[in-house]
This record gives sequence, structure tokens and C-alpha cells, in this order.
Amino acid sequence: MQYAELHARSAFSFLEGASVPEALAYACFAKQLPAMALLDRNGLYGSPRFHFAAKPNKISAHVGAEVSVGDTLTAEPSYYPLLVRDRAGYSNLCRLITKTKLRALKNQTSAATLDELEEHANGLVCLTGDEDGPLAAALRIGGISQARQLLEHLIAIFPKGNLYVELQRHFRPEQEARNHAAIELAREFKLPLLATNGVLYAGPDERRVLDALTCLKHKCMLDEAGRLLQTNASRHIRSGKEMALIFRDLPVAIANTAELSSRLEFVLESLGYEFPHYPVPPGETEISYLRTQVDQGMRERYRTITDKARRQLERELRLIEKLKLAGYFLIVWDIVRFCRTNKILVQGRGSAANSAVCYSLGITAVDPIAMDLLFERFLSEERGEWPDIDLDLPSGDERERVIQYVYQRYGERGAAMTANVITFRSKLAAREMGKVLGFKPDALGRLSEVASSWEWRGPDDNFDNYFRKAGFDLNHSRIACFLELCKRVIDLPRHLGQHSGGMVVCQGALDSVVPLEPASMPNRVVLQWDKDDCADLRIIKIDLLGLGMMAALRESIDLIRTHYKEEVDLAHLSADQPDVYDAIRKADTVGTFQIESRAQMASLPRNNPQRFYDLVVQVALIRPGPIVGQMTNPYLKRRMGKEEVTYPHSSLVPVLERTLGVPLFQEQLLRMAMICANFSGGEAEELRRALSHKRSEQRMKQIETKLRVGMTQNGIPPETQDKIVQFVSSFALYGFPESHSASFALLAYASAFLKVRYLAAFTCALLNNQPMGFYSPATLVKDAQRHGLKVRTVDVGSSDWNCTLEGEQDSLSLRLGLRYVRGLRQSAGEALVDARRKRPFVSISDIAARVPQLGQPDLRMLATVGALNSISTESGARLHRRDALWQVQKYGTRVPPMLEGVIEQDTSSPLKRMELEERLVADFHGTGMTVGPHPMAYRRQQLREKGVVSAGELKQLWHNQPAVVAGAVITRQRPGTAKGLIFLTLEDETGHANILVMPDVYSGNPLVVLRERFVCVHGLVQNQDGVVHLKAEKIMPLNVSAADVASHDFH
Amino acid sequence: MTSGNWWKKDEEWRREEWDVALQLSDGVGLYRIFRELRQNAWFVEGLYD
Repeated sequence: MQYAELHARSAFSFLEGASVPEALAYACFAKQLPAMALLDRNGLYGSPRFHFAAKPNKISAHVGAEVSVGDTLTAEPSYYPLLVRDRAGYSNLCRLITKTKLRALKNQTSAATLDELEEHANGLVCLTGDEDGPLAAALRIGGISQARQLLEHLIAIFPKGNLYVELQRHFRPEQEARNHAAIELAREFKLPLLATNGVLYAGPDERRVLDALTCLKHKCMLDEAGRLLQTNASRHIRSGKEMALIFRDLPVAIANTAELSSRLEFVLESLGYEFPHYPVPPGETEISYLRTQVDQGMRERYRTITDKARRQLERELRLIEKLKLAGYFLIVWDIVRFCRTNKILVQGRGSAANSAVCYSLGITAVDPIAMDLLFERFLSEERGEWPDIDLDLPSGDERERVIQYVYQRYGERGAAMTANVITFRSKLAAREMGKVLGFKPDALGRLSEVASSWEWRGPDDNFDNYFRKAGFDLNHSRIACFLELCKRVIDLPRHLGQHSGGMVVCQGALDSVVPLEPASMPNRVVLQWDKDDCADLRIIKIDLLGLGMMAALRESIDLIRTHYKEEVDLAHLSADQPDVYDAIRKADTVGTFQIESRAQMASLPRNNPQRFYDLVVQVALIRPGPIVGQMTNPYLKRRMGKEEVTYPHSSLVPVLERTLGVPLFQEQLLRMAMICANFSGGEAEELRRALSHKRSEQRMKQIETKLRVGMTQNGIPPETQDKIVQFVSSFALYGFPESHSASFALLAYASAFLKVRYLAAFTCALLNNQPMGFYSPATLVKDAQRHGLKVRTVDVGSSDWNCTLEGEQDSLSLRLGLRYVRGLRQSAGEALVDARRKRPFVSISDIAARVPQLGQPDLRMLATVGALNSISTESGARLHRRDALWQVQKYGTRVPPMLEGVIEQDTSSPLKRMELEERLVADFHGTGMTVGPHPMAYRRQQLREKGVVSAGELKQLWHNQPAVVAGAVITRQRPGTAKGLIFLTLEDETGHANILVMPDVYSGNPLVVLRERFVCVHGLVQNQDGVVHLKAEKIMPLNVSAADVASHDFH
Repeated sequence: MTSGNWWKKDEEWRREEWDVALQLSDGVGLYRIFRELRQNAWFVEGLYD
């Protein structure tokens, strides 16, 4: 007898289900079930993944949810299993969940009312549920009469075969008693019975995971969870045969599952999603209006319009018209226009930069015709999917304004951000599973420390080793349980986050396509699927990404206008200034966009950029793709003339010429397939996608065959074919689009330009838009100081909340803002600045009296970092930090009414000034940096006597020369592509020294590498092509200062 | 069928449980009996009033 499992929850019920949807689909396949309905709690979070796992296995993936409904008949809200019958039912379910969710605060539960259930019942089938369902609740509260009343009500809501009495059998007496009552009621009301297994996990072993998740949900340990836990492990996917045996006395309950399954005709692909139309003026169509805008934009962008440009635009417009995408382009154009009108910097990135239409509309800043970019990478007829346009915006308030504009334009239920599912990773799994098993925090702390979070993972980076390293005995049964749970929960969803910027908009109402819920940020709505789910279901999204550098560029331009009295227009910046390229070639790029990392700096002297296209290459060069595909070094060697420029085949010269015969960009891969194997543009893009993610061996083989057939037709010999196939398959996974690289290169150039020409403004803007980039604010400040910028300390008499510029155009200095004072709230900092603007402060008591928002900890911190030093004492002397600390003890607490308004003069204290070391410690503790000399400068003499060279001197040494260098560790990195090598950057008063740590040196003393703030490194100088590293042989801790120098560690 | 304490080696249990009615001289007695699967031994857990 056919059995369909029509009531299952996955881990997307967040702590109330223990298997991912794919595991459930595979279990259905293994148990030969023809269909399963995924009914997660108050959501369709897992439905797309279940659908796409079930489809190739020929399993019908029914859609539904357990929806929480509160009513007087069941006292507390209970979970109603609702199955979607048709598209109307699907829309109703989405709207019902959305309605319930949007009235609750984030992470709070809210229930629908029975009236709302009635309003949205069309197209849905209701089951009476399990122990958390309405029938069990009614029986519990008022016995059989209450249950009768409930059924009468439900029959009115779900008439004509849309209500089933659900039976589950998990070998529990109380459940069987309930079943007896349910069977009686079903007979009385002539309702069909339906057997389900109320599945909560794929196989019986996952019951343990569910128990652990239950403890997390109830914030308790397994030892104290008692009846909250499962009584047995029977709620897994069972075969039809097993279910028929369990329900052998009620075959009709099994038969009804197949009958109901056949009536559930809705499949997730028929969502009814439609991208909104753009409102055009009367007499216009979307395409005619788009043509007008493109025409207008084209005249502005291209001063002389070439035939090539005209042809390309016409080709794109025809395809846009054919694919009915004019509305989409107009909507993105509308967002860009909003940004321009409101002076918000905006720049399209990604494959959109391959489109001349996007360039003409002002969406992107790179001319794809001049750069000969490949349109098919962006849009193709064959691909049958939506194009992807990403907009970079200044992070923070301006991006928020744009997001709010989209909400406002399309309505609260017409637009939402895509979700981001947070899953269990090693550290989270170890912490949470340890907690439920009752392990002590210090033991969990040890485990968390050894659990690797480096990007690079060696063969030892697994849970078994982490446990051993943390001193756990794996033979101990509870520890073995802990280890097993950790392994099992990895990758399970933990909760829903928010994607960094994907916005989905919809014609009509988005809430009838996917349930929406409130995001953690106020005034934001998030949909229940992530970006991959949206792409799989062909839901179009527009990425509105916040880029710290955009905000910094925008602020730099404002500062330049005010302080330099000059106007910089980034849109018309000619990327050809020699002094900018000089700085880039010298890797003088701390703070710039994309080309500031250690690895970028190490390749800049080799790549030797002379013009804009060299920067486009530079941005793409230091990426996992070219590095893993072993393209980076051959390119650099050719660039330096150390290797001959060759091509795999003469036909590829036009494609690979610009990158010296080495493929670096995705577009080149596409063109290679087009030229060598006669692929159409769309087919080539399909090839890239097939190879890029979720690749399967079978698909790879098919593609290889197709490539080889084409190449053979073109007379390419087999050995050359091998080379091309290898190029294509190794590169497709990580390749970077040339268009994306060009967009980023523009920002890289702009940031380098500002750094070279307007250092004070640029540094100030960088410091006001942290966190961003590769280096900490302390490093940015030290770099700016080495370039001659005067940086002044935080001062209550001069500092604003943000960092500011002081002085005249030719002698500008940077004043640190109050934002850098640890623990100081922005509201308190701004209140201080407002009070000072009314009149200057005359004493600490004056500050305390006029800025009551400052608590004593704030005043103490201001005193500690020297921000009160400019206040004079009674005798007119300046306070020192200890004087100020002495004074502030009196303030920041409640002032007795009698003393309100009394201003006391500050008097100096009997305390000694802080010593140099104390000031350094205070600076780093209180502001994360020092504007005084670098801590290493105070030790230079001693170090020199010990033969330690400075970072500046290291660069002068020969290759292979032994040397010792010392400094503060400012970055630690173990890239996934570097075979376990660790890179450290040390900083001293002369600059940065790059250290290479081989795995054996690291494993000799990992804690010195990972933890020490100052180290001394003995090693051999690697000085090649103007790039200098010290290959470490010995690394020792160095006692320089107790100052808390921060390192940016990249994991 | 019930099971529990799976995370404690010495206290883990797995049971097959039955409620049985016995005809006694003074009426019917309703008992909860169980078989501890690890020991394969039967026990009386309790008597229903």
C-alpha cells in the first residue's frame, strides 16, 4: 500500500527538528516514499531546499507549515498542520504566516487567531495535529465535549474533505488514548483519518540531536530536561511497509495519505512571482521609456557615439525587450536616480558592468565597450534566469536611506531583504553542545580555543583532534557523546539572520509569494529564504551592498571641499595620474581599497601597474582562483619579462593577449569556450555556472565532452585540448569577473588618488568609517604620521564625535574624535560637543555639570586618555592625566540638590604624572592607538645593540641574508590557498615587516605566533623583485610594552 | 517503547512498556510492567488505583 508522509518537520523549525531538508528527502528516497510534506513551524524556510532535493529523486515535495493559532477552545496557542493544495492555498499560507510574524517582535512568538485562519483557509488542508496540535489541546482542557466543539468549528473553516483527523503512533500510552478519542470523533463527524509519523528527524540516530536542540531551546541541560525530551526514537522517516504494520488495524488511515497526496497539486516552482512593472508616463511602454533613458544616458556617457557602441546598445535593448526585463532595468535605474538626487555615491558592480545599457543608465561606472567586456556574462537568452545587479553604496545611514526608499516605493509587503541562515560551525557547536551536556565553561573555552577558525584547514583540523588537544579523553562516554553531537549538529540551521543587502521586490504583494518577518533592525522586513533559494526559484533580487570605502570616499570629498576648497568629482576622475601609480607601485597602499592587503602589496612591485587596466588585473590577481589555478605566478613572471608569453592556441591570442596569455577572468574562460569549441555566449555562461558551484562529476564530464567535440571540429590537437580543458575546469570555480574587477579597480584608484593628494581628508574619512579594510585604526594613523600628517589626541576642548581636520590647507592636522574613546556612547559624546559649542569648558566640574550624560566611567576614561589635559587648574597650570583622574572621582554621580549649579575650580592632585609606559598602556586601552611615538621607538636603541634591524632597514638587506626583526604584530593570516603558511605583519616606527612562518615553525610554538603582541623574529631575508619577506626560523615573545596593540587576524 | 539518559553510559535505559489488566480474585488489577532491554528482565513499575 502506498504511504506518503504528510507531516514532517526539519531543522528549519529552528531547534524543533533535527535534520536538514536534504537528509529528509534522501531518507524518503531510501524508504521508497513517493511523497512527503514538510511542515516547519510558522515558516517555509526549508521548502526550497526540500523541493530541490526531492525533485531529482522523483519524490513529491508537498508544501505546508505548522502554524501557531491561539483561540479560546484550546486556551494556549497550538500548532495547526496546514497543507497547501493549490496556488491560492499557498498565497493564503504565506499571508497568514506573514500577518502573524509581522505583528510580533523579532524572535518572539505570535499566533494567528481562528478568524485569521478562517480568512486564509481557502486552498489549504488542515490536520488535527500531534500532541502540540489543536485536538490534543482541546481533549486535554475540556475532554471529548471540548474536542467536539473544536471539530465543529474546524469543519466550518475547512469544509468538504479539507479536514483530516491525524493519528500518530509512537508507542506511548497517552498518545494511544488520544488516538482512541480521535477515531471515535472521526466516526461521529464522518471525517477521514490520516496516519502520519510526525517526523522530526531523518533516522532514529538523530533523536539525540533533537534532545540536545530541545535543551538549547529551553535553556537547560540534558540532566535536568526530563519530560521535555523524546521518550523514544520513533519519529523518523518510516517506509510504507513499516507504517502499514503500525496501523494494520486502520488501513484506511494509510490509504488516505496517498489519496490526499494526489490532491496536493501545488509545487513550489509555480510561485506566481512577478517582478514589478515600472510606472511609465502616458503613451510610453516600459521598453520605449527605457530606450529614451538609455539614449539620453548614452549621450552623456559617450561624447562621441561610435557605431560599435550603438550596435552593442541596440543588441542589449533587443534582448532586454525579448526577455521582458525593461521594468527591471528601470527599477534599478530609479534606485540609482534616487541616490544621485540625494547625493549618495552609488556604483554597480559584478556582471552588470558588462552591460552598455547599465553604463548608459549610470548604474555602472566602467565602459564595457571601451574595455571590450563580454555582455553574455551578464545576460543571455539561453540561460533563462534573471540578471544580477549589485549596487555598492556607502555603508551606514546612506545605505539605510536607499533601503527605506525601496520599502517605501514598493510597500512593506512588496519588498524585503533576503535571509541569511546561520548554521552551526565548529566553535558554536562545541560551545552549545558542551553546555547542554553540562561541561564547565573553562573546558569549553579550551575547546573553543583549539577549534581552528583559520581559513586554511589541515588534515588535523577536525573535531577528534580539537577534543584531544583540549585535553578531553575520548574514551569517556560523556565526552564521546559530546563529540558525536558536535559532529552531527554541524551545518544545521541555528537561526535566521539577514543577508547583507539582497532586496527582493514583487509586483502586487511579496507576502503571497514567501512569508515575511521582522528583521532585527527596526523598519526592516526579511523574507524566509536565503539568496540561493531565491536564485533557485527565479526570484529576482537587487543587492544593495554597504561598502565602507564608498562612505569614506564620500566623506573625503566633503572634507576636501571644506578644508582644501577643491571639488573632486569621482565620476570624472581620469585614472592616469603618475604620482598615484608611483605610490601604488611602491606598495604604499595602506588604507586603499582592495590593494592594501599584505598579499596585494607583495605583488604590486612585481605587477608594476602603469595604467588603469593594470589595476584591473591587480585586483583579480590576488584571488583564490588565479592562485589555486596557478595563474598568479606565471602572470607576474611574464609581466616582469622573466617568462616568455605563450598561448595555448593561436586562436586564443585575441582573448588572452591582455593578460599575457594567462587566463585571469571569467569572461576569458567564456570566450575561450566560444572560440575554441564554438559555444554560443549563453552556452559558455552555462558552462561557467555548471562548473562554479554544486558541480557534479557527471556534469563536468558532459561539458568536457562538448568542449572536446567543438575543439576537434576546429582542428585543435588533443594535447592542446587537454591544456584548455584543464584551464577551464580549474579556473571556473574561483575566477573573478573582469567587469567586477574593473568596478573595484575604479575604487582602488580613487582611494589611492585621495591618499596621495589629500592624505589628511582621506585618513580622517577612513577613521570615521571603521571598521573596514585590512588594518586597524592604529596602523592607519601610524602610516599617515609616517607620511607627515600630524595627528592630535582626543581633547574635550577640541574633539567632535567624529575625527576632524584642524588648521589651514597647507598645514592640516587630524584631531581624533570622541568616537575613539572606549565605552563612550555617541549620545554622551555629542552632548559634550553641543555643550562646548555653547561655551568652552572651564573645569572638570563644569563638564560634569553641563554634560550629565557622562557617567563616572566616561569621565575616568576621558581622564585616562588625556582628553581632559587641556583644562586648566585654578593656578592656570595644565592638568596631567592623574590630576584629571583625581578630579573626576568627585563627578559623574548624582549631585545633591544643594550643590546643583556650583562650579568648582579644579586643583592639581598630589599624584605623580603617568610614566611613559603607563601613558602608552592608557592610550591603547582607551583609544586603541597612540598618536605619540610607536612603542617600538622607545626600545630602538636596545634592539639595535642586540642586532635587531628595523622594518625600514630590512628592505635594504640582500636575499638569503640572516636577519632579526622585531615589532608589534598587526595582522595574522593563514590563507586557504597557502598550504598552511602563516603570514604575520610586524609594525615598528619605520613601517611594516612581512614575516613568513612555515607550518613546522608555527607548530613548534603556536601560542607565540597566535597570541603575543610583540615578537622578535630570527630568519632569512627573502628579497626578490623588490618584495621583501623574512622567512622565520625562530619567533620569540618580546617584552616591549603592556599596551594592548590590536592585531587584525584573518581566519 | 521508551528510552532515555542516552548521554550517561551507566544510567542509559531502554524499555518496552505495557499496561496489563489481570483478573484477580477481588476484581481486575491494572499494572504497568516493563522489560529492561539491556538486561532483558521484566519488572513491575506500578499499579493503577
